[in-house]
Amino acid sequence: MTLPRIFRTASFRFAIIIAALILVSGVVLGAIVYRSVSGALEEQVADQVDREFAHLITEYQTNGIEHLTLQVNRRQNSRSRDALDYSLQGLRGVVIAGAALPAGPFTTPRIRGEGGAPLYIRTKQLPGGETLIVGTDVNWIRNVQDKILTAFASALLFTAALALVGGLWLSSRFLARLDAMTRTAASIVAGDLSSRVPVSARGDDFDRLGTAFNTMLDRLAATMDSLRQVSNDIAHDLRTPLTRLRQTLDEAARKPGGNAETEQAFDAAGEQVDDILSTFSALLRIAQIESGARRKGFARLDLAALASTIADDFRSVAEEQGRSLTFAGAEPVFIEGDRDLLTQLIVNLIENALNHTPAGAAIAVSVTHPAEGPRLAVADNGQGVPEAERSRIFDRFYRLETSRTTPGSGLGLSLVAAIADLHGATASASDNAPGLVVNVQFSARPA
Amino acid sequence: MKILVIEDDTSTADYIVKGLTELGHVVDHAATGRDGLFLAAGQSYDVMIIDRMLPGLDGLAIVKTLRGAGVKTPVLFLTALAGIDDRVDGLSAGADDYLVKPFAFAELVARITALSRRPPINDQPTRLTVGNLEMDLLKRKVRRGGTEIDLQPREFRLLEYLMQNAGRVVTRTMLLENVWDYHFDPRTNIVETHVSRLRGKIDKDFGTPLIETVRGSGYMIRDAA
Repeated sequence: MTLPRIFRTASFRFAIIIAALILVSGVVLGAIVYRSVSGALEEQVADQVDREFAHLITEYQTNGIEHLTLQVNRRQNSRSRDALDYSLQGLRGVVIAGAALPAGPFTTPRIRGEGGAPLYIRTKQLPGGETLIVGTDVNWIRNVQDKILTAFASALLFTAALALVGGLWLSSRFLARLDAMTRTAASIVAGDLSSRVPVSARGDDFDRLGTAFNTMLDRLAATMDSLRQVSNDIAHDLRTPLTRLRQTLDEAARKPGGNAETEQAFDAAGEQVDDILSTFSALLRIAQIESGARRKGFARLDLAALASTIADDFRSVAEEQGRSLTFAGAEPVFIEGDRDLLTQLIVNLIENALNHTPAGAAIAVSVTHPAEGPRLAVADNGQGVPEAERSRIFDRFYRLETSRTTPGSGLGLSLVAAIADLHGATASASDNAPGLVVNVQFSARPA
Repeated sequence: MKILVIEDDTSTADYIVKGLTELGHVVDHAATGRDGLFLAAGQSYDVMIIDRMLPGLDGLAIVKTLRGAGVKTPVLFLTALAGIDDRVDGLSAGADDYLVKPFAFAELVARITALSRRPPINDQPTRLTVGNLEMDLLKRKVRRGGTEIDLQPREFRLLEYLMQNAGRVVTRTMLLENVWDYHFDPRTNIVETHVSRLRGKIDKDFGTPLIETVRGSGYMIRDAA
């Protein structure tokens, strides 16, 4: 599994989105915490300063400026570290009592950074011209704020990293399970209807999907089976009454006392029943060959010799029909195959060429052995088959519009395709310019 | 001939029994494999016609049992299956011939006639004669009235099969199976064409024709004179 592929998966995109949401909500949460903690601390400091300031103003109003000077000095001198600073200043900032705090003018209490350290300061000009200042260093609030920011930033980094790693991990797990389904679907497409998706005992979403998928495949396989079964049953079941019909006709034809016309009618009817029966036989035979049951009849045989013998047998038939039939291929070409079925394959191809060419046509049967494997070809110089229809001539009951009137069931080439398939060979039709050539290409196998 | 028919399908059994009786044969019929085996083992028949698919004991098992017990009576298998392996299975079980339903009655008659007169394997003649037509199977030569006739290998095999069955009808299917080894029905008239060529060689220039066409059945070679 390559990294780029993980990045392209839907689950990884979800992981990225979730990580981004976590980041955004972390930032919002951090901002809220930062603001409310800062506000609470500043409020606390302001409260303390405001109370002291109000107390000192009351002292001044009750007991006068001397008492205030005493109080400011006492408080400033007895102050502990981090506590408030007090200052009473005369005109132009001369310090009368307490510490040297920046004087203002401040109309509202606020935190100010004057030359570095931030301060919270309250000032008031007294009626005597003096200024009372109470303030405190609020640098520690800044430290708390910095700590909050640092804590949130590291927590967010960790969360984002976790979301990414988790996303990758989940992606690879999902991919592995999706890959299993993709492989199953691919092997179904390739023709193995028995393939199923692995399902674990956990019963999670994937297992449910896999189970549904498998159930669907079971139904599909059952449908295919019953379709095959039904067509076989139809062929079998229709054979029985047709057989009886054939027997009845046969008995009637043998009855003495009929005239020549009746006999001919019975014979014709019998032949028609035979035609129907032979179509059913061909269908059943194709079904049986497609089921692959015939492989036990396989043996090593010379395809060239077999084709040559059959071509010899059909030469006189072709000549009688005003066509010529030739065979080419001197070397023995050995293949593993079923002699009966290959005989039928070659006969069907020759008969197809005989039936679908005009009188005077030349039919050429050849067996060659190119690098890709043994090849049987039956070529004619007749009217050929339009390119669009060429691959369809192997379909069951497929007949060209032009050959509707020629005899045949439309199953001969289907049987050829089925027999070729059983032998691991491919039957294909191509243009012989003019005419048609059907190639049966066997696979090359080690000698 | 005395013939045993083991067939469970009533309609087919009636058709066979009635037809063979009309031809003057003595026919026994059994509808199940067990009854059939009982008859086959207890009496002597010239030919047995056995359906492949029977309730209880099937045709293959009957033939195997009979052959195992040393009964050499010729057996013709009948089957409704167009099974492609059935012929091989039937013949390897010990049946002598095989006929797929439906069949023309003439086909059945031709086959059981051929079966009942089949010479033992170790008694194959090296020379066949019909009238003034002679075939030397060792030298692969054919003469009629002293004139040597040149035949193609397939024509020779065709004439050989006809002469082996001289005086009996051989059907088109029998010829396809025994002369060409085709176990399917070609749609072209390959048999008719070859018979016609053979006639051109052995009958045309010799006055009395030996090969007859039997309407609705097939061909027969015999010395009509």
